[in-house]
Amino acid sequence: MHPDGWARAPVRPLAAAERKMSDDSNILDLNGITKTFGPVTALSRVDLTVRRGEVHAILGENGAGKSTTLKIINGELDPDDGTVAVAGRATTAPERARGDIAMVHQELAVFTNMSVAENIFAGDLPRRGGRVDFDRMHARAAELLSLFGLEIETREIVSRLTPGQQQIVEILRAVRREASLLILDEPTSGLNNHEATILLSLVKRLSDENVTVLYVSHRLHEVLEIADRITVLRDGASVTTLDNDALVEDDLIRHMVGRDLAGARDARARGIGETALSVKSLTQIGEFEDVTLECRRGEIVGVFGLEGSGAADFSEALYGLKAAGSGRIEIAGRDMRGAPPAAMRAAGLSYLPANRKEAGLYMERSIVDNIAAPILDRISRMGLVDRDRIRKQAETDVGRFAIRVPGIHAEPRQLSGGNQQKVLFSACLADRPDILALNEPTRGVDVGAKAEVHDVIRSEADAGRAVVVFSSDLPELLRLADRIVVMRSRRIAGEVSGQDLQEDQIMALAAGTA
Amino acid sequence: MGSTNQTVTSTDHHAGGTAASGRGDAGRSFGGNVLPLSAIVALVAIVLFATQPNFGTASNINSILFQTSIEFLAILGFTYVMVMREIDLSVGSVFALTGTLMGALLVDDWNFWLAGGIALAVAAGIGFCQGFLVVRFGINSLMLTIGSLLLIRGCSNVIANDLGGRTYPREFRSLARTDLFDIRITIVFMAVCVLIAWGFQKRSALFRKMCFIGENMRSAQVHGIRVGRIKIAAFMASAVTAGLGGIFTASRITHADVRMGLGLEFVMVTAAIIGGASLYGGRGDLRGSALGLLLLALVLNGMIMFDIEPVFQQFVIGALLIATVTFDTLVNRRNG
Repeated sequence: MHPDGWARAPVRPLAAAERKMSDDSNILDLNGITKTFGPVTALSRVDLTVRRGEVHAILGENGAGKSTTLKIINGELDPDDGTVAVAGRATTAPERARGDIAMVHQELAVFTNMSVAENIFAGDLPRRGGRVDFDRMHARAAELLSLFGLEIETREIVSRLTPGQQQIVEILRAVRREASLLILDEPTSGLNNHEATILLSLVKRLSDENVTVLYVSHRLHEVLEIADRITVLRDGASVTTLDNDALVEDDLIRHMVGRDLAGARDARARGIGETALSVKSLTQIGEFEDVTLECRRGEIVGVFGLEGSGAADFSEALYGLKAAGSGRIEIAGRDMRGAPPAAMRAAGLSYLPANRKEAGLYMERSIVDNIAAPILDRISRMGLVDRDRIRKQAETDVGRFAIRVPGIHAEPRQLSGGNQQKVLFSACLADRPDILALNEPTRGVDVGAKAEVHDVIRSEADAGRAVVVFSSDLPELLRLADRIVVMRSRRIAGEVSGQDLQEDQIMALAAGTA
Repeated sequence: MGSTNQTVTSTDHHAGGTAASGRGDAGRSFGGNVLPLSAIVALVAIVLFATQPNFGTASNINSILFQTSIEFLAILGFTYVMVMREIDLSVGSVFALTGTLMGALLVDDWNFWLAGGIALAVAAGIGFCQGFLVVRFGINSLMLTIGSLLLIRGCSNVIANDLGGRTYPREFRSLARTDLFDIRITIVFMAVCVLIAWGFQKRSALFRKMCFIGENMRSAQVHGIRVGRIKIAAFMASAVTAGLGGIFTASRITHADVRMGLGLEFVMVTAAIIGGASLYGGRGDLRGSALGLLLLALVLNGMIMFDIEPVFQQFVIGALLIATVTFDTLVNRRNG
């Protein structure tokens, strides 16, 4: 799956001997890290070396294994195989969790009703006698802020700061601990360009102060701007580590995307019919803006966007799970904007949610119940459920989707991710919708089940349904979609079809370099 | 304030979770509680029967059943609110307000049916408001109904004080003593409801939807279940059935009393959880709730028989409430 064509790319890859070296000049050494979750392999033999004092970036698409790697480094997870050495010494996960690695998570974790200084010193307030020494706390906070050239008042309540400033406060909290390694996980994902610029300059300052930073992102220009070295992850494996020396974004994209997966599209010979779904200038300010999209019967349209592109919000708004301020969602000529999911369903639009545990499955109810949930009214007479029909429907679906279960009364929590996903598909298709909006249809399923799910999607399109697939898995979209709409910064950045369906082109559109 | 991570894990915990292993496709715990609970109720009854000669008298048994049947009216809607992982702690106050209001209207010489209709309409309105606030603004129903518990109790007390200790008209007083087939009408009603609930819980689409909402509201939304409507309807049902219970109680005690229905909500929670409902939603059984009420009534009756101070009742109800809630949480955590 991972040919090292690109690992032997123009830039010098690290020699094996160098990678194994674990002297004190390396603050962090990951060697052959493997991690599986049930049937899913999240990481496979990942190597990573962070040198003392450098800014090291980890780059990868969604699902490439970035967060799992971070969790292992931060001691939140134990690898199944491989070693993690900190400052040359092999460590266990609890040791790392206690040790001096400071991680700033992607989601903000500030105390919104407390002051900037209190946030920076949270958990370790300066004391005199038994009381908090507020003067010293504010003085030290002001020192830290000015050290990085930041103009934030230390007594300001954090909820009144911008998201960018809040992110900076969080980073300073980690910096204050004077940890030997500072991990920043997608620190700019919630920020606008201006805020992101400030944050990047903060990272540069940190680097000047000799703080070692591990910077995780999928934003190419940021990484190129601040990193000394860059490790690229793809499909749970470390592809290569590059010195940031005369690199351009295209180099990175090629590594992130790999080459083997492109061109695996099937020739398609289905008839494409009339327009089934037409979205016109759909807008919710701050989430997605001016989104226009059309999907015909028999057509599979892919929607691709990196995190923060607005694709996820748009997918939920399409099904009425989120509000959309203006624009139209036309199904069979009727504007359905503002209609609740129940009405969308009645109009023929069905939706597959992205996170089946959070919304989609009832983990502790039988498969029969799960499949019956969306069609209870249809299979009831005078409010009473026809239990034979449910059972038959469940038996048919278990056969049709080849769901491997102990029995139709088994519960989803007993099944593998792939089989859970097939139960979710059964529920999604139970009322024979005309239009399918599928959100991350193969998240967290293994390779075999993925292919089966793809077959189901294709056969639904062949049967004349209009299918919109939202996925952050670009190879998947390339295999499935007739055309791909790319979103970036809340808007549609472009549409790609036919000969242009190439990974690097789409990735360039999504990352904003085209 | 905990870290974001912690919050996330704790919500994950609630993703569902019941312990019973019934395999019926209406709900895993379906009917799972009824048999063992019946056995416990029977056991307590037998012990009391064997040790206390006063227990077995027709009048005592009748009074226990009558008491239970009136409380049963109030737990009807309450149980189904709990199935959806909400709670309605205002039942005791709505119970008092509805009964007192109907009595007050009758004292003012209103038509009997009109007075009843108005009192129940007020209850329905209260239920609608509570349901609407929960659905529209996502207010935590526990806190909301603690607030309305106080608010409605205040309204009810104003009316009760206004009436002083006046006795209600004869027509109203005789309502609770209405018999059908020589049995109090509320007892007959309870028996019929239990039978209907059996079918409702086994066969109806609506009850399944309620279970789905309680187990995972977001899934239910995705599946096109009209979560908001069903929740509002359940809060209305809870208030109206509590109101019905209040009307019968007011009739039974024959005059306005500010203590009417005080602490009833805690009896309801305890009985419903004993009967198979859960604070974590997704299940509940009206038959079990009825048995839970009966069990509590037997225990309290037994305490009187054994000459235990009546002031000790609150202690016992409190202890039982803590015990059932602890059990409920442990059962859910094991599966979480």
